[in-house]
Amino acid sequence: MSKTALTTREISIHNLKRRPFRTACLVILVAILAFTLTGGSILIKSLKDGMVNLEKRLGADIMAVPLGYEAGIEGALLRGEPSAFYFEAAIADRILHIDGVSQVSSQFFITSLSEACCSMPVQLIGFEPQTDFVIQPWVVEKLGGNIGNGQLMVGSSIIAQVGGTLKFFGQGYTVAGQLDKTATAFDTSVFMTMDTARKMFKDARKIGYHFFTEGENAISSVMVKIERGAAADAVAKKIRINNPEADIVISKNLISGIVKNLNTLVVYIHTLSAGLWLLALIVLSVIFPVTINERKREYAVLRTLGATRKKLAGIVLSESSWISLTGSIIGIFLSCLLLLPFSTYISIKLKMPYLQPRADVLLYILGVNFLLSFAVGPLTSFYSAIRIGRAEPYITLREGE
Amino acid sequence: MKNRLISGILFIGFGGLIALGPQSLFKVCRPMEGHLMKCFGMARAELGIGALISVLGVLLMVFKADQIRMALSTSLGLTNIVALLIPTVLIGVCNTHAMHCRTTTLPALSVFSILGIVTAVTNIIYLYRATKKPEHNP
Repeated sequence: MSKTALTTREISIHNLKRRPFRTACLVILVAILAFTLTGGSILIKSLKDGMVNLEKRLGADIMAVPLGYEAGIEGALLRGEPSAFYFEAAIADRILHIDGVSQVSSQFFITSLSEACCSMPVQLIGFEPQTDFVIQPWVVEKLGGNIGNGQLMVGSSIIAQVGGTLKFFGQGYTVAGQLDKTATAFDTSVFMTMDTARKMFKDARKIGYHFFTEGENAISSVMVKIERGAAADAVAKKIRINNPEADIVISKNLISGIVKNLNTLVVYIHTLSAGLWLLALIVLSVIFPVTINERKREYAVLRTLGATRKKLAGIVLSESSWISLTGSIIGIFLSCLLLLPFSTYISIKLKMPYLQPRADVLLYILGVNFLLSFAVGPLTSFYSAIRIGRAEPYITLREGE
Repeated sequence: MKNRLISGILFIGFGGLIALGPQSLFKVCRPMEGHLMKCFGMARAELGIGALISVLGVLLMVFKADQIRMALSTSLGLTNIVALLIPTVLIGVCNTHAMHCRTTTLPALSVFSILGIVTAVTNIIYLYRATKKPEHNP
């Protein structure tokens, strides 16, 4: 027979192994708690980061698009649905002179062709580096300077090598840089100067691509920044009155639907997490005293053999800690295994901007949730651990005789 | 007995999902106009690897000796690593980010492969400890 020292660890593990079904059930309970807490936290953080990014990247307070194309700009910006629509370039100048408008910048949209297989059309966006305040800051941040004519800045989801070439409408263009992931439609967009965009437009027409414009004096949208203190609604109304050929979109209204959905989802996840944590607390608070009560003679024997009250308490706390530790690790592992690889799928299904947290933030989330789920076990067994040592061994052993 | 059954069933399940999943539950892109995609070839490779994992899972249930089962578990761990490398490094899937094979097939295969690796490692540790005990009935 092999000799094993009766350490707290050995006794607690042996006790857990003796009741495998009960141990498994308690571990599963803690695992479900850890899974929900971690999964919910990652989901909320990813959605919130996506939302913040979207608000940052929208840049403009107001957008003017051709009449009837409000849905088009919404699809292009929020869902990455490539669009091409046009109106006269002169509208940008008229908008600039409206009260409350601080800056304007025009953009020109083209959609690329899609092959029968394996590729998807991308949004090609021409912008004016001298006046732009939406895309230009990222370009400067990434390249350290301006993008040149004939060069492209691609979104993070575009398969391209920096320094390599991308072909559009039969012509090659150099990829000057690639933007970081934004969890917005810009990830599937390609940016270029207005001159490059107009050249690309001509190339497209040469190969038979038809547009509702000749292209020379056309733009797709006007990005508007309002003055500090001005009300977006009021300025939008003035722009609308002075430019009946345009649809006016206020950025905060564009994303208000998404913000509402996000807030509802956040409340739901927090409620579910809190409810599960409470449930785990209640169940474990009931189970631990019951299991300890049915083993009080065993503990009395240990006391008789010389175990101190502290050791008995240690055994009880050790058992609950092992259950919590195992359950937490399993729950957190499964949560990461499901959420991290499927992040793109989740973002497509939720139809909301979804930006996975950075590694350091993710580790922080995992750490906090580990502590929260681990704490459940020792917390619920603490009182029982204190009580177990107080019973008089002789009386306990002779109980019922 | 319990360990043989549980571990065997788990690996048969993982193998089945890895082999047949890309053909059914989380399908890859079909060939279009005679153009075969990377993910199609990847699915074919996973068909073989998944079948191998299932067969090894059956053998795990059949053999009683701990050392044979440890060797089988090691093989299963390594095979699952290959199953993970095929869609990620060795062959890969379509490049376009929104393609079904990238959003669904690749993550699903990654999940099942990783679960297979973790199960194999756990089984190896369990069997190693079991061989150290003086009395052990498989």
